[in-house]
Amino acid sequence: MIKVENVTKTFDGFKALDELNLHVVKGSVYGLVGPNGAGKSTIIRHLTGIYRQDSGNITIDGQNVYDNAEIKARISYIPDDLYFFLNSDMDDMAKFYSGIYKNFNMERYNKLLTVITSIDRKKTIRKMSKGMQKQAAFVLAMCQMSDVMILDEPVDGLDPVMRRQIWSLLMQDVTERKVTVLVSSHNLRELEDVCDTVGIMNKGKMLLERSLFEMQEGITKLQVAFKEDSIPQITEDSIEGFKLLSNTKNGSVYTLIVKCPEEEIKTKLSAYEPLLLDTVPLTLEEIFIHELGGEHYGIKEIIL
Amino acid sequence: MESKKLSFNWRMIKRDILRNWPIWGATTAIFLLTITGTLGLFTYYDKTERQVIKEVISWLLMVSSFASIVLGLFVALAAFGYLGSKKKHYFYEFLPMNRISLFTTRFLFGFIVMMIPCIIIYLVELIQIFSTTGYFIIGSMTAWLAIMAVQNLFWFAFGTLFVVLCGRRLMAGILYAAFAFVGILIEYTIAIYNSFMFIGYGRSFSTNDVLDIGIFSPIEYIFSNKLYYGTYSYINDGDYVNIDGIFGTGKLIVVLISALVLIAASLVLYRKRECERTEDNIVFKIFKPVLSSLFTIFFTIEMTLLMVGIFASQAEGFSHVPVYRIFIIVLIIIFGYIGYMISCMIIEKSFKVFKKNFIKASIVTGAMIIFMILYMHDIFGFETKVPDIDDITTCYVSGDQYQSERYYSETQMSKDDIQKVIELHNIILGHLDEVIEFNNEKNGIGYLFREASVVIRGVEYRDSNGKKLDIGDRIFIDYNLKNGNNVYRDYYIIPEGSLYEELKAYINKYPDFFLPGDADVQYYFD
Repeated sequence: MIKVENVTKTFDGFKALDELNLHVVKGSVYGLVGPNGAGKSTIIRHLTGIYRQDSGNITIDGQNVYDNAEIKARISYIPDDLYFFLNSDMDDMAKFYSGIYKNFNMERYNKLLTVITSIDRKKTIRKMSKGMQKQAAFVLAMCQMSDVMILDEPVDGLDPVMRRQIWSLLMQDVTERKVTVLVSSHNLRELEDVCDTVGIMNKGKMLLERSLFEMQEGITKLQVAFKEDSIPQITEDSIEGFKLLSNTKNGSVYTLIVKCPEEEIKTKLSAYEPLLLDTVPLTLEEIFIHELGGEHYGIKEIIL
Repeated sequence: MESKKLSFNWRMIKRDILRNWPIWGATTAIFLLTITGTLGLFTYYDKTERQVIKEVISWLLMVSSFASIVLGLFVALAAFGYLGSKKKHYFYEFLPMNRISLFTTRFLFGFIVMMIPCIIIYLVELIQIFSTTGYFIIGSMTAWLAIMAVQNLFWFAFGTLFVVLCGRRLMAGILYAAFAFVGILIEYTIAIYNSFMFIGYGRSFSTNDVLDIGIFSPIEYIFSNKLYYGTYSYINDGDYVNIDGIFGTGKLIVVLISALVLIAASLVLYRKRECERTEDNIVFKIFKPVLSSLFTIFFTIEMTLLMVGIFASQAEGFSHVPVYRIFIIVLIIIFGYIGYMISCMIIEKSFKVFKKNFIKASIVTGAMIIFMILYMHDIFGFETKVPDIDDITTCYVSGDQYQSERYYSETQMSKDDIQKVIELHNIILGHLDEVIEFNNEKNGIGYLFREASVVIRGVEYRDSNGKKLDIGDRIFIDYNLKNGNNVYRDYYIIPEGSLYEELKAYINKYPDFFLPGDADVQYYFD
């Protein structure tokens, strides 16, 4: 659905995007993560037709995005820096959008305002708090009935209850209308629950782009306790021939993160008849830390 | 593929017209007050239909034309001001409209806002004038509306161009003002420079006829004599107001074509404009050195004038005095570099501009020096230019000690009489070396530091109190041209030498023309 191919963008000599590639499958949720200054907002502005790339292609459904009114009509976008007209309330903005977006659904708009009751539709949006403005932006974006939603830190500033509500509404749309979503965030824990695919950016490049399933498939986290006379050879970065990403010991219990399929490492370690051998679920955060730790990309910056 | 389909979003236009009611509302109120006041003044007197039309149209045209200039910028900022804010610009850029449609929608909104007051006045005044005077001046009012449509289109397009060109609104406003007066500024600058560079210009700041570039100043072009002075002469003469006579259909077409060119240029720039440059002072890289150069030239000219004014305000004929030439060249070097760096600091919003702009500053300064040297050598022929006989309506000669006043009230002299003045002028120009020599002695190096005595052929002339004496007389030559310009020259003639003798002989050939009979006037050449 969304394809970014070898896109480069330079601002006054500074390469913000460096032959970036990105692919989002239709009907999926793509999480874009990276440290500050990685280029997330920059690529998002390209995807929404605000910036024009210096080289490369950016297409949605096979069509270039830049200056393409038809494609832009199919995209809803919530930027990190929101803008509303001066002295406009929700109804003013809804009226404006209904004149611009042919598919704008007023019925849905009224319904959403009954669900998200914290928004006062007659209050000037600019006078609302940052969190309320985000909610307002979300409601207006949802009512555009678009195929693609591009969200730049959409739940930043929202309380936990509202976050859950927003994600819930979003996932409902993905399920029912096969909406394709690209969301950028610093919060890996939150993305873990909603994303199908994750892409990590740094310094304008895409370091890693995989489905969550693929990421988890290749790495295993175990807790194991060996008998005193039966301990396998564990070095700083390997165990039984497999790459060891992490090794912590608490008493006699080792917590190991190994780069190999679960079954293989379990078979190997079973030979030592361990007192304890359990697989522990791996978080997205841990995957990223250990997947990229050997590439010297300042991984500490990625995880907040 | 970039979509090029043109469409307007009428809902956006309608919404923005309503939101910007203060602009057109205030303008309408000003127009209404003006006309109501004018009508109120002459309801005391009986007026013919023609007089009513003259009163109304002349005031309305003047007020609405000035309003058009001011509104042009403000409405352009209202329509395209979002280009100066990243948040707003991104918001509009993301909307599902291609750039052509967005531009045309915003432009149409702006033009409608400019026309609303005119349309309201058109309707209201037809009724008001009819009810006050009994005259239904639909023809004249429709002509006025057409003129205003063209003027509004021009000034709005003019403002749009600068708003699209610049990121900052203040910069757009500065450029709008500067380029509205650009032709006038250049003409007056040349006139001032000529007055101290060349012999014959004195302190008159006579507009020159060698380089008539006022046409490039929109203010000058639109507000030239016909629009303002012409309407008053129609009123005074009691002639029927002919709108064509006031504005001129040809001029209107030129303004319309200029407006369309500006719209096309704005659209091209708008389509190429990059959102990431929103908050730059000048958005397009290619224009930065151009504007820097223009600013540098303007800055250097003005600062050089200021320095010359401080050190040698009474001197003239600089181009013939080596030390003054060097003085001016040195000033150009100093202010050229300073001006270029200042402009780069403003445009780049940074103080660290010296290294990367040194070469460009050198090029611009070098070009100014070359130009100044050529100018000092009178490559444009300012010093020796005499107007063409076919361009002259009237001309006269006078002096400190005599005057020919015959032709003050005449509107057109005979060619023979004009030729007499031209030949007298040519005699002086034929002895220019003599005039220059005297001038250099009179305005020698001492003038650089204000004080100088008069030294003629090695003899210093001072009075008993030590105050220097003025020796010689000035001859003033004044030409009034058919295009409304005036060419004025004055020359210091000392009462000895070949020039004096030749002038005396020539003037005494035509005593009735050059020496009117008045016993009280001392005749220098008698």
